[in-house]
This record gives sequence, C-alpha cells and structure tokens, in this order.
Amino acid sequence: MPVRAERLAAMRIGLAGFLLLDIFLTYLPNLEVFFGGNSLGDPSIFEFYTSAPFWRWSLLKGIENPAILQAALWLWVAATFCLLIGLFTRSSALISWVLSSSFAGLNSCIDNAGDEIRGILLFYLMISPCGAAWSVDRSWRRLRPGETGPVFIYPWVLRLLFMQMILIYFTNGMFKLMGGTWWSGDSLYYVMSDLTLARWSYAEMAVPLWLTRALTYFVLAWEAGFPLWVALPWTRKLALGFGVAFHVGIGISMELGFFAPYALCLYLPLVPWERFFRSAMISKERSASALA
Amino acid sequence: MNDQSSRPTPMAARAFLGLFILWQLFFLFSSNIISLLPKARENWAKQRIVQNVAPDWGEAKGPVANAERSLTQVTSRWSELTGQPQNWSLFAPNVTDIVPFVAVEFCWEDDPSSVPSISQQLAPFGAGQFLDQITLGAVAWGKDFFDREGLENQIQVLWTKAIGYGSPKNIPSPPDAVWRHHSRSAWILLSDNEPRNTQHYLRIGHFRLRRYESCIDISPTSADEKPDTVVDVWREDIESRVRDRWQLMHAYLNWRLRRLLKEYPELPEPRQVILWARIYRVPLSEEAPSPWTWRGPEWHPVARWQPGAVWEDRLLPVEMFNPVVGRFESLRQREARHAE
Repeated sequence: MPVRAERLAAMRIGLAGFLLLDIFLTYLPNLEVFFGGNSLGDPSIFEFYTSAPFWRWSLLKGIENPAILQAALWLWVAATFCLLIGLFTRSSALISWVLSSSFAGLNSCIDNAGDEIRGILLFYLMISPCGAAWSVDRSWRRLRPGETGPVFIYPWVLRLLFMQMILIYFTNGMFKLMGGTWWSGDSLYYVMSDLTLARWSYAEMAVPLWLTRALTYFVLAWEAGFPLWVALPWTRKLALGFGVAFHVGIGISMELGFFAPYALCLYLPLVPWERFFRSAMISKERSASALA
Repeated sequence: MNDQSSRPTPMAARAFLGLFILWQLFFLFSSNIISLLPKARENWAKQRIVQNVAPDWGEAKGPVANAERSLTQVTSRWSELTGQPQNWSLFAPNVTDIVPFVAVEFCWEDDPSSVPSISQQLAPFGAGQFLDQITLGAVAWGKDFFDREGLENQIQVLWTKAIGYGSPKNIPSPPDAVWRHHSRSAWILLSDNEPRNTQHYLRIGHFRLRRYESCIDISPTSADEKPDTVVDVWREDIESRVRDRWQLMHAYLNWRLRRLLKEYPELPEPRQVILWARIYRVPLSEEAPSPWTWRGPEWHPVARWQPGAVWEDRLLPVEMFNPVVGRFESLRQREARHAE
C-alpha cells in the first residue's frame, strides 16, 4: 500500500543535515591529517583496501594531492546541501553516495558504525524517490497542472530499511548473548568507565551499580528480542521509543561521532509526519474561517 | 492527490525492481546470520545437536561450512560494492576492562646499545698513544656533552612553555628506559584524546583520531597471570601488532613528529621516536575502590622509529619492543598488511 512521501523525505533531510555537520566538523578540519600523501591515510597504506579480491572502490584512490581532495570534499558538501533542500535530488544523492564511499575507501581506520549506517542510508536514498516531497524539485513540479496535493510512493525502500534496522539490533543482540560481560551485567559499567569514549569521568559521576546492571540486561533483552518487540502491536511503540531514548542517551554520554544521529535517521520514516501536517492544515483552515 | 505509485511503469522495470528487492532481503538476512556463525562455531561446535546434524561444521569443514564460505564470498562482495557493510557487533560479544591510549616519546639521545653510541664510547680506545686517546675522547664526547646539556635545557624551556602552566606537575615524566640515559633528553606527548585529569573532564570531538589510534594501540594480557607467561604472550602480541600495523604506526609517529617540529622549529630532529601504550584498568565492579578510580596508567613501550636511520630493504623501518629482553628489535619484511 502506498505511503506518504514525507516519510522518506524526513529521512533524507535528517541524514543530509547530519552529514553536513559531520563533514564540517570531522572531515574538513582534518583533511590533510587523514587523507592524502604523507598523512595518516597515505595511499600506500590503504591501497590494499580497494584492491582485489575486495570489491570496495574509491574514485579518489591513489590521490595524494590535497587540492584534489579538498575539491572532492567541497563537491560532497554541495551535493549534500542539494540533497538537504531536495534540488536535483536523485543526482545529488548519487554524488553524495559516491563521495561517501570514496572517502570511506581512502582510510578505513577512522570510520565507525555510524559511518556505515550513513553509507547504507545514502544507498537507499540514491535508488528511491526521496525528492518526491519537501523538496525544491517538488516545488517546481507543483507549477505543472495536476501536480498538486499530497504525494504517495511505494514503500519498498522504507520496508527494506526497517528490515535493516531490525537486523542491526538483532545481530548485535545475538553477539552480546555470546559474551560474558552482558550475562554478568557488567557491560554498561565498563562502557561508562571507558576513558577513551565516555563523555565525562565515571569517577565524577558514577552511576549506581544496580542501575548499570539493570540497564545492561534491559539493553540485551531489547536488542536480542527486537524483531519480536516490533512484530507485536502492543510492544512496538515502546520498543521504538526505547530505541530513540537509547541513541539519544548514547549521544549524550559517549563521544562516538555521528553514530547516534545517523542511527536516529533510521527512525525518521517511522514517524507519521502526514498526521502532523494534517493537524496543521486543519488548524490553519479553522483559523482562516474564524477570521472570515 | 498526486500518486507517484499510480503512474504506469514499464514491466521490465517492475520486474527488475522486484528482483532487486528480493535480492536485498536475501542479502540482509544471509549476511547478518552468516556473520554470527564463526562465533557460534566457537561456542557450540561440541554441542550434541551440531555433532548430529553437521559434525564437520564445528571444524569449518564439510558441505555446510563450504556453503557458508561461498555465501560469505557473495554477500561480502555485494556489501563492498554497494557500501553496505554488515558488521553489527558493537560492544559485543564482550566489553573490555582495559582502556588503552597511545603516547609518543621523542628522544634526542641515541640508544646506548646502538652502533653510533657504542662506537662513540670506544673511539678513543682505537688510539695507540695516551695523548691520542685524550684527543679522540675529547672529540668523541666533548661536543656531544656540550650539545646535550644545551639541548636538554632547550627541551625543558620549550616543555614548560608548551604546557602553559609553568610547572609540569600534570604532565607525566618519561619513565626510565634502557634506550636513553637522561630523562631530560626526552619529551612525552600524550594522545589528544587522553583526558589530562581522569577525575574531571568533558570530551567533545577527537573521535576519528581515537578510531585511528585504536588501530595501533595494544593491550597487554591480564596482570593476574604468572609474570613469565604474561611477558611471553605480550612479546608475541607486540610482534604480531607491529608486523601487521607498522605502516600505520610509522605514519602516526611521523605525523606527531612533523606536528612537533612545526610548532617548535628550534628543536632538532629527535634520534628516536617511541610509541608507548598507556593502559588504565577498570576495577571489577565488586572490588571497586572508594573513592572510585581506575588502576594505572601503566606504561608499555611498543614500537620505535628512528628517523635518521637507514635500514636494509629486508628490515621494517619500525622496530618492536621485546619485553622479554627489554629492548627494541628489528623485524624482517614480509607480506605485511594490516587487518581491517
């Protein structure tokens, strides 16, 4: 059954917004540190990463010249901005995906799961009508006769993304079930006291042990049972709500780059945006008729 | 109402889309399930049901294991081509109690056991006459002695200026080491990601640097095991890590050195650049001290790069630290590439 295009558009806008921040905060200031000749990502070190037998690729493979890399990065900024506002949306999604994959292929040591989720989301945006709503492209189409009213799309992209989301949590949960620290309830205690990524000192703001144990078991049950929780109508909203809270909590308490924001983008297509706009439209009509 | 879904689509396009959707579903499910199998094999290979249904699978042999390998090949290639990696084991299966950081030491002395150092000490004894010995000794030692004291003072002045507090009380002194006589001729720089005060800090940023440093750091085995066992395993771990990651270590040490010399152009190039691992350990939850704090940091030398050294082609430019004998050793080249 077709769904409102706003759902996909929300994910497009959220992802593009976070990606722009990511590029400006973590890529641009450190371009010559992580990429190019004589850097931490010198092409001679990572040449194997995009060579046979792997099928990974990068259009920037072997590039040492910082000027070329700088130009590629600014092209990425431009494409992502166009994706944000929905201008030539399909092309900008394609260019953004190509450049995201190209930079990922230059230095495999600086990325985390957030960057992987980013790449997956860009892939889906590239192959879907993500500019069908909330976009400059849509505004131009409205000028044509018959192109008014809400837009509907086939939901296959959203369903595939939902499957991806389920498998992310389920696979994580299964791996956790095979580990001792999750069964003993100590995992979140160790995570929160990890000096390499905790946002603040555990010594200064120690969380009671009973609470970290409870949270550890809760996270384990939530992840391992995620397919079940979202399949059952009476647990679905709670499970998804916990997921949002989980990632917001991770973003606040740990420095994992843009992992939390990119993961939250997976939830954007699940929000019934059209209901908010229907309510807004109804309020607007009531105000207009009251004034009249 | 505008329904993009109601516009006529060519039959071929619809068929292609249908096949793509089916393929993606197959890819998502199979690649994620397959990713669990190696760990499952470790845990369940000896279980009765596995022994009854697929006994060879537990040893990664037989038709089931072969099918697993083939499927892994196919799904891996698709994930690489389309940028859809499926490696979802975040903080799993276990979370470690060991917290490693890297630090870099710049040392302006030659290693006392190096050829330049030894030849400098022995040079005077090559002379036949007593007066010649005095002359040669003055040449071999005098200039260096004079330069060393001046250099050490210069390092300390720059050090004090660098930390900005006028007192190095919060900056670690270099631990004693066999590759230098004088701690004043060395300068330690901690990772930008390591909190200067572990009891009170706020971390914003540096996550990509942390990711890179996690590719070159190394954690020793538990301190609870017998010392001899620990040291031998530690030596093997260091050798394996340096062999696999020497290019990353070399790039990192080079980058830190260039940053140092750019900021302090008055400094000469150091003779030795050493990669240290600084290890903190999280106390067991039941044995946590009061007030709560980490154990450590422990200092563990890992690798060394000598910028001015010229190596034979068959040797790696980065040496490993051998904790068994307590010194750096060179490693022979082999087909070395770092793990992903």
